[in-house]
Order: sequence, then C-alpha cells, then structure tokens
Amino acid sequence: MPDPTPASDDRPAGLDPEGLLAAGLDDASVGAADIAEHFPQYEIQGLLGEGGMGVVYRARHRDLDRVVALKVLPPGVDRRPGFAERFRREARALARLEHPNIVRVYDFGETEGLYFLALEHVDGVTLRDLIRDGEMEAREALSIVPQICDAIQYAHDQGIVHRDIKPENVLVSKGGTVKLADFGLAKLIDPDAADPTLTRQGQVMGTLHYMAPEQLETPNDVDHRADIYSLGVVFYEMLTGELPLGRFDAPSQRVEVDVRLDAVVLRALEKQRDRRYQRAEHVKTAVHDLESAPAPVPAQRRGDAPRDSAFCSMAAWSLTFGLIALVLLLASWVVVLFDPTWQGIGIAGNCHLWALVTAVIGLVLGGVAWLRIALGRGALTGVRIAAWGTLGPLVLGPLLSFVGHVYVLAPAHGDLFARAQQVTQGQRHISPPEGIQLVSEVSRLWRLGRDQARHPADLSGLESVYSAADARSIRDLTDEQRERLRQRRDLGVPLLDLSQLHEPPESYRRIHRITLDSRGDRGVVEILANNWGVSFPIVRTEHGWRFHVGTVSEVRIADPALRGGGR
Amino acid sequence: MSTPHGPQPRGRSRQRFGTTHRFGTTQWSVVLAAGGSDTGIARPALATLCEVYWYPLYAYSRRRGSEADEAADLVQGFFTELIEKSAIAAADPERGRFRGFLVTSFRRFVSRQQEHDSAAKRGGGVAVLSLDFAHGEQRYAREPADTSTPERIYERRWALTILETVIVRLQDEVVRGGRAELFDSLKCYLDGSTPVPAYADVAERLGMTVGAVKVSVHRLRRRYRDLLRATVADTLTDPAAVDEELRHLLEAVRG
Repeated sequence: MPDPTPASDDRPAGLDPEGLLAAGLDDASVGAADIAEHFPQYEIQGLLGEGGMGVVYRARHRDLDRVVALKVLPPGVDRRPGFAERFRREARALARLEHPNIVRVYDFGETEGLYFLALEHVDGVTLRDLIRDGEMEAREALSIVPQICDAIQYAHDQGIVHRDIKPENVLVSKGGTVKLADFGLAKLIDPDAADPTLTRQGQVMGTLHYMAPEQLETPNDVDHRADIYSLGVVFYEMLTGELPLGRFDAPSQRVEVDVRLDAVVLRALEKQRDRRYQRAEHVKTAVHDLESAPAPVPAQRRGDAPRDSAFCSMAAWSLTFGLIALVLLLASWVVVLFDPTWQGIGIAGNCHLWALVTAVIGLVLGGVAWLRIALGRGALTGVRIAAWGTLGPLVLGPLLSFVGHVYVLAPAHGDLFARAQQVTQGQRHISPPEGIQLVSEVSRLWRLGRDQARHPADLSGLESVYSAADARSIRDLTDEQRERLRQRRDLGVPLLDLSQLHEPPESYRRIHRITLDSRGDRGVVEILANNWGVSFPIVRTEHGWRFHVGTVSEVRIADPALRGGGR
Repeated sequence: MSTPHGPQPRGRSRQRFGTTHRFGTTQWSVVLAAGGSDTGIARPALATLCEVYWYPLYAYSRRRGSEADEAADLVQGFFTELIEKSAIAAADPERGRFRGFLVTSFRRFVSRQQEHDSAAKRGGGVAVLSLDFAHGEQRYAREPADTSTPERIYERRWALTILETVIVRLQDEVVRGGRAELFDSLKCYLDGSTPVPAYADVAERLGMTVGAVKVSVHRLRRRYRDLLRATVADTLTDPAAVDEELRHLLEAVRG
C-alpha cells in the first residue's frame, strides 16, 4: 500500500497516532470496568450517561455514604497546556455555586491522569426526556423556566456563564425541582473552540442549535447573555416541541399558548444580544407577570394544528347530525301538511324517530367536543362548530318538534279522529285516546290487507277482498267474484263503481268514515280512493280493534263465518 | 448528569462484501466463515487483508533476527501457504482477531520451516501476492533501533498500518470529491491533540465561512471514525469488539 507520509512512519499523515486511535473509540473515554480501580474511595454502581463532557457514573462515596454522580472527563483533555491549572480554578468556582437549582459539586480532582467531578446525584430525568416523551403542557414549561432563570441568574452573579444550556443539561427531579448541570464545563474542556462538543461525534449539530449566534461567530467574546439565548431556545422547544430554526413561527402560531408568551420567547431569542433580556431574572419576571395577569382569549392559530383536526371533525359531525335532525323534523311537517292521513302521520312519525336518533348522536359528539374545550384542548373554530352542532339538536330540535306537534300533527290526528267519531248508527262517543288507537289500528289493517292483496293468488274467497283495497287486485277479480261481492249488501257499503276502475292513484287514500254501533265496540270502516272505495267490518276485542272475523292473522285464512254472511 | 447516549455505531451489514464499498463487512469473519473452502469470496478477502497487513509481519520477522531476504521469503511463503492452502486451523484460539491469528500462524510457519530446514521450499511456490519488500526494508531501516520486542514492534506497526490505511482511504474520498486542499487543511483536527489553527483562519484561507469549516471538520471526523472502526472491525470476527481492539492498539502505540 502507498505510504502517505514516508518521512514520518510513526505519525500517519503527520498526526498523533494516539489521538487518532482514541478518536475511534466508542465513548472516547475510560470504560466502566476500568474506572473503579482509579477511585477506591467510591463504589461505582453503574453508568448514568455519557456525552461530550465525559462519562457519568453513579457512585457511592464509601466514607460519607453519599450517592454522587461521578463525572470523568474524556481522557486527553489535559493535552492542552495549562489544563490542570484551569481545571482547578474552574472547578473551585463551580464548587462554590450553592443553589437549589444548580447541581452541587462535592469534589473534584485528578487521579492518574483522569479528571473528575463528584456531583450531586439527581434522581429524575432530563428535560430532553420530558420533551421526547411528548407534548409538554405550557404550564409545565412555565414552571420549569423560572427555575432555570434562578439558577442562571445566581451563577451569573458569581461571574459564571454556563455556555451550554440545553435540555440534556436540565435535570428534573422526581419532586419536580429543576437542577442545571455542567456549568462552565463547555469552556473548560474546549476553551478555544466555539463548539465544545465536537469531541463527541454526532452531537455537534444538535448542540449548535442551542448556541447564541455570537458563540459561533465570535467565540472569544461571549458573555452571560449567550445563556439567555440558549434559555430562549429551550423555552421555545418546550412549548412547541421544535427548534427555532430559520424563519420560525412565534410559539402561539404553532400551538395554543398565551399569545403574550411570544414576546418573552422571541426577546430571549434576539440575534443581537443587546436586544435580548439582559438578565435571566428579567425572563422570570416576564413569565410571572404573564401568569399573574388575566390571560386574554387564546390566540387563534394560523390554521388548526394537526392535533385539533380530530376535534374539529368531531364538532363538524355534531353539527352535521344536528342539521340532519332539523331537516327530518321539517320534513315530517311537510308530509303531514300535504298528507294529513294515517299514512302521512306514519311517515312523519318515522321522520321524528330518525330526527331523534341523529339529534342524540349529534348531542354526544357535541358533548365530547365541549369536553375537550373544557380541558383546554379545543381551537376556537372548533368551539364555534361545536356550538352550532349542539345548539341545533339541543334547542331548535325540541322547539320545532313541539311546534310541529301542536300545530300540525295534533290537528291532523284530530281530523282523523273526528272522522272516526262520525258515529251514525249508534250515538256513543269514544274518547280521543280510543279514537286514535282505532285509527292507528285501522291503518295497520289497511296495510295488511294491501300487502295480502298484492298476491292475487291468495284471493281464494271474497272475504279477502274486503281488505284487498288495491285497485288492481279488485279489477282482477273474476266476474263471479265481483257478482258475489255486489251481493254483500249486509256489509253496508259495497264497492263503488267497481266496473269503472282503471288505475286509481295508489297514493291517495283516506279513511272516509268509521261507523260504530251504540256500544262502540263494532262498526264499519269506509275507505275511499278517488273514485272507488271499500268498507269492512271491525270489532273491538280485548287485544284492540280487529276485523270482525277475529284476529288479524285470520285475515289470511278464508273464514267461513264471513263467507256465510257475517254475524 | 445523565446525558443521552451518543449515536450508536452504524450497523454493519455482513453481507456487503464485494460491493463498491469495501468497508461494509468484517472481512475476517468472511474468511473464517468459509472454513478453508474456496467460496470465491473468502480467498480474495484474505488476500486483501494480507496485502494491507504484511509490513507488521515483515518488521516482526526482521526484529526476530531474519535478514531482509529471509524475512521477505518467509512472509511471502507464509502468505502463499495461507492463501493457497487456506490453512486456517479451526481450533486456533486467536481466531477472533486477525492480528493475533496472523502472528501466531506465522510463528508456527517459521518454526515448521526451520524444522524441515527446507529453505529450498521457501519462495518455491508461486507468489500469490505482489509485495514491495524493497520498500518494506527501507521502512524497517527507519524503525527505532530500541529494544522493542518483535511482538511489540508487530503490534505497534499493526496499529500504525491501520491508521495509515484509514487516512489514505479518507484522503482518497475527499480528493475524489475534488477537495484535496480541504483535507490538507482539516486533517489536523482529526487527532484532537495536534495544535490546530483557529477555525476563522482556516475559513479565511479556504474562502469558506466559519460555520462551513466546522461542519466540514465535523463530517471529516465522523467519516474518519466510521472508516477507522470499519477497518478495525474487518480484522475481527465480532464487530462489537472494536472498542476493545482500539484500546489494545492505543496501548501498543503508547508503548
């Protein structure tokens, strides 16, 4: 193979072979097994994590019986001149930081070339875990940010800039306390490079996004305001789940949050540090002012976010069902207005039934939509839709239904009832409920008879003809049958103009008259079409109104009693 | 301070040998999987490995006291036997690592040769590999004349050979992309210890923005790391043992 640099066999391409090999190591640091022998005072209990700043072990100080997070800096950090001195100076400053929201530094030092920090062990998760787990509620973010502000402000007051604030460095304990970690380590480990995490492959791009513009452009001129920018990025990510890249939207345009938060986040994210908040505590104050002042109406988003599409469609369906219910109700009126017969009433009744079903569905969907609004997850558009969707079936439905019953259905029923009341042979009046029952029973008989008459083969006897009001079936009778029918004078009203029947309209039929005897338990029903009619006897039994021959099912059977001239 | 784990090493397909990308497989596992039978893949794979790693063996042989000609004969004869006869002992305890396997087998080969004293056989077969022993001898002349044992010089040379191979491949890739100057300017960022110029200076020299330089360095480092790990993995049966092998090599170059 060709030798790239023949003159320096020990330095491939003039580079340090040790560094080259170390760069290929998976963790670029010392393995967990090796670490224990370097720290006899600690019992290494496991690996907590690893990153550009080294590897972190969970360890217990044997004498103090204190669990710590033992952070071992990457081997080779001391290759740069003056590192040892700088490490001591910085770590000492960090150890002086004493704040409830800052991870404590208990101990630090160097052992056999390994630089380490013994840090407070926080039992919890990183903010990165929380963000990754799913959408954070705005109020959750609003409880975390002030704590970060406190920590940063305190450190800034001590003259320490974090330089690497990112969700990975924000720990949230099980009790909800926020603890900021890795203060100043970015500068310590790579003071010359603007990007402190280049030591770790793959993390560089992620970390760059949290850096203030001046950290990239003029790394030697970075002050505490870089932390405020990073805080802004973290804040933005917590609210929206995304990074503020390029020409990013204000938070309220992406998610439903208090529109006043936009100003706070965007000011922290100002590219010019002079235009940012100048102190971390100002961010905290701004957030607190927001929380104490009454929230305005939630900002309407530019288009509904995907998470609300389900809600919107639910509200829209509610509205749709509400409208269907209304249409059905209106249709039932129209039917009854134009066809005030038992048939029209039957259709209207079906319309009412379906109106009721759709109204209930609309009501349920609307209710769910309202529930989501109550839980603070609804968009304004959805609110309007749900309002209409539930208003329709809830308010207009019963109202229109009531009006319809009073002014349309009741009169129609009354008309039929009045006809049934035309008692000529006897003088006994029946009560309205009885009359309505009579009408509905008669209409049922009519349907039965008509269905049966559709099968002319069944017309084995005259008795069926009485219910076979279908014009065609009557016309198809044999001459003999017609003659026998004419002779049935005892039934009161015989067929009218039977010979002239051609194609009477099927649709227009009405009960012409129901004649009851003096006891009101038997009589004759006369049914008229345009130019024909039929009448048949009825009788009241304990099961309701029947054909005079007996139960309805017996209609199908040729009944000798009827053939024999009736009772 | 738990930080999320870094990117996992990219998964390596073991079945990609012979495709345009040589680094997609562990060649040594391919050789071993063949179990000495010529699968049409194993033999070229073994030849490729030998071509890359012959010099450490040569240096080892020289340090053991062989003269230049003798060392060249032994290495060539060893490779011929290895490749032609596919003489890979099934129960070799060093099978997991090509590095260990090669030197152990070579030691056995040499002692066998000495037993039979069949110098006539050495080099008697047709050389299967074209190795530049003259160049190798020039290199050996530059080896430090310290008291390093043959084993140590073998391991050290092995590590350096890997690095040279990786850097040449990396350079090839960059140059093929028409960025020769870029590689020369950025390679100093690879080892993390050579004094490096400020990004701003490099950016000015290359006519790039600082951000672009950083991204390029980042990419170069990542690619370098991938190539290094793939090359090391090629000499192992278990790709997961790369870190262990790297630490071993790190010790070797420190020594």
